[in-house]
Amino acid sequence: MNIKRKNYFDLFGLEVGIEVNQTILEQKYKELQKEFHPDKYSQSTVYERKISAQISSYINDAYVTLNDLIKRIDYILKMNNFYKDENTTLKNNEFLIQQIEHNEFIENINHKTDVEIKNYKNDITKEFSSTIEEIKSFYEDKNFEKIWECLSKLQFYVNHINKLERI
Amino acid sequence: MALITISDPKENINKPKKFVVGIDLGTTNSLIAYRNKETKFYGDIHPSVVDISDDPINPYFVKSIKRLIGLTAKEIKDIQDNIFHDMDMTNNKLPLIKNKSGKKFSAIEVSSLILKNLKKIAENDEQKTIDGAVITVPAYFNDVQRQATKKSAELAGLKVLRLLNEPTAAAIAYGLDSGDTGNFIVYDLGGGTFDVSILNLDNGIFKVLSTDGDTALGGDDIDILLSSHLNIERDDAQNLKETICDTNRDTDLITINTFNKLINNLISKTIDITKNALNRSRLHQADIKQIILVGGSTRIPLVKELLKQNFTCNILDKIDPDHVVAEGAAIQASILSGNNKDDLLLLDVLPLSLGVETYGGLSEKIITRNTPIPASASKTFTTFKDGQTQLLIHVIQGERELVESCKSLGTFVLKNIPPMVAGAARIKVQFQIDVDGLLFVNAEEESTGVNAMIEINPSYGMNEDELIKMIEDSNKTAEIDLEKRKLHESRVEAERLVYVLTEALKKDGNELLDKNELNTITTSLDSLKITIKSDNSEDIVSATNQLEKTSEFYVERRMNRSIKSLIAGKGIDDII
Repeated sequence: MNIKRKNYFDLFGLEVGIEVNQTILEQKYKELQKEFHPDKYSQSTVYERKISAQISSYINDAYVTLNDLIKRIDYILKMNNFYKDENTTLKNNEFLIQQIEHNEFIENINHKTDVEIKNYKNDITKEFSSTIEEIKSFYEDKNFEKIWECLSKLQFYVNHINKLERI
Repeated sequence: MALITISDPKENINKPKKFVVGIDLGTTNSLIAYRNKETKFYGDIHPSVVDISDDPINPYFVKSIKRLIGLTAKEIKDIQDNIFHDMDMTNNKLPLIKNKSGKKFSAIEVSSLILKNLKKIAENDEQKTIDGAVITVPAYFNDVQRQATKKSAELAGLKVLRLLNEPTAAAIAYGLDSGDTGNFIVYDLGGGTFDVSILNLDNGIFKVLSTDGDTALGGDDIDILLSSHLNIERDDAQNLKETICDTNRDTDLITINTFNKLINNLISKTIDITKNALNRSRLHQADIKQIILVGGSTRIPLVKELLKQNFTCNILDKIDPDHVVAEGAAIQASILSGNNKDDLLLLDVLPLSLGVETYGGLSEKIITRNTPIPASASKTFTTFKDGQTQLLIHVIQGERELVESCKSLGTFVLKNIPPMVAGAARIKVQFQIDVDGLLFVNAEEESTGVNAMIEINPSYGMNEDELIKMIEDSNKTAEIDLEKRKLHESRVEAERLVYVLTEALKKDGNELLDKNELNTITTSLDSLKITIKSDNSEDIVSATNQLEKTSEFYVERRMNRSIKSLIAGKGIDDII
């Protein structure tokens, strides 16, 4: 697949960026599916039904990718030919220690007061937001290695916040 | 633009309406409906009960067959209690129900008998042959259960226009009537299955955000609990349950309190599932406008009580929970057949993740649940031994890490891999999920182009040949003449193609085609028009295919033009 030619952002008329305009994405997604969804071709030729299914799948894939922060940043890295082996993990001792501390908080959550939990959630949200800001500034410098590092952190925060919400 | 846009107001003025129906194939009851401005139900609800005896004086009834469809013998043993009949479990993939004289029936066959009966009722009423049907399935049905349902419809002589998820069908019927917009929870507790879908309704677009459920949880389970608690027959338990639901009062046999305690775990489970689905939709309670109740079991007072305790949003119980699914299916049928001009679009999702078995019996997910469909994804595999020429791929569905905890959809072997050193072959496996939620797999060795196209079929125990034989046998015994049906179907297809191409050529034939090209298509079109009049279905099919083939380049040009008009700087080659 020629990722540059088949740029997902172009499909929705969006500028390539860490953040996207959700309203435009949603509107354009529906507009495109209204045109290309296989249901609109149920009475058409076999060939046209086949093409519409392929186009519709492509639109869905593009939508899912751009609608999710982590997938979107990962996609931007790929657009810029920045690939890492799937098994590569972030080697950052400082962050490793942070992760352990965060996991310990969840393990001991039964001993925490409501205020402590609330403050903790606020802190996590702040760290999450500041990581996004970091990514944005690294993106301006085209420092993809650093973006990749931040993305690993972001992934941790997303999982961690999900864990917290489930408790 | 589609060759025929369904929203085109000028469309179909002189075209006779097709007789297309919506069928709610339920665990306890089924319905069949037709939509033409208003919805017509044929004979209200029909119990999903089939007599499989050869002897009308001593009937042998099978109930709740939907609980068995698409299950292996092992799965039936794992989840079922004694509600099923004498069964032959020797073939794990194809458990069979035995009647008194020892004749054996698969769940697909029993299910097809229910559909055949519904078909007969509607056809007798209209004195017309059904042209196609939308059949509803629980949103949480896996690929095998969907495939099996589709095959049972084909066996009953129905052309399946679409498998539609039950909660989505309910939302269509509700949303189209009310014109409401916003986010909704559809809570669907039926006789045998529980489904929940979170949907966004927005000006005729019905977008499913997430779905969850349990295909073995429903009113039947309450009957089982009640019958074992009071030591009464299941039918009596069912009647008792209905009395409690109607009156919400103590009965001679059981108090409402004890009844609620008895079923509390079961209903609580549905509440947990609903909360999970909401979480995964990324919405919060405050974003939800209403909870729509569907399915007969939502009449149980505890359902509403627990929903009210756990959710702050309004509960809508004014719609008829028994009819709304069939109505939605009938609406979708009329849209897909071009009868109806409602500008409506359904965007549904994959209910369960799809993956493949990797080293160590672990599942690797290729497409995750709640991905909008149609969808496609690919994954590249390699060989692990020098000179390896075959590769076995095991496709599974489910969320669990271990393959053995997921549903096996089937295996396929990619043969003729050119011998190379270990790790050198690049085998790209493409997964495609169509709008029915059905999976197709296609594998290719990238350096040599060795190809294998696989439809995951044998997982419900029968291969295509066995199925064709079953269809033929059933048609021999039934009054339907297979040849007649084939001829009817081939004509319908041919007429549809003639119609769409004639309309398309009128619109832009001169603009997109040069004289020669136009001539080629018209010649092929005229030839099909003549062949339609013959009585040979094979000739009609081959002339139809010929025209399909001849017009491909024209179709592609039209599609390309609409892509270019909607997406700046892109053509068809950039997308597929």
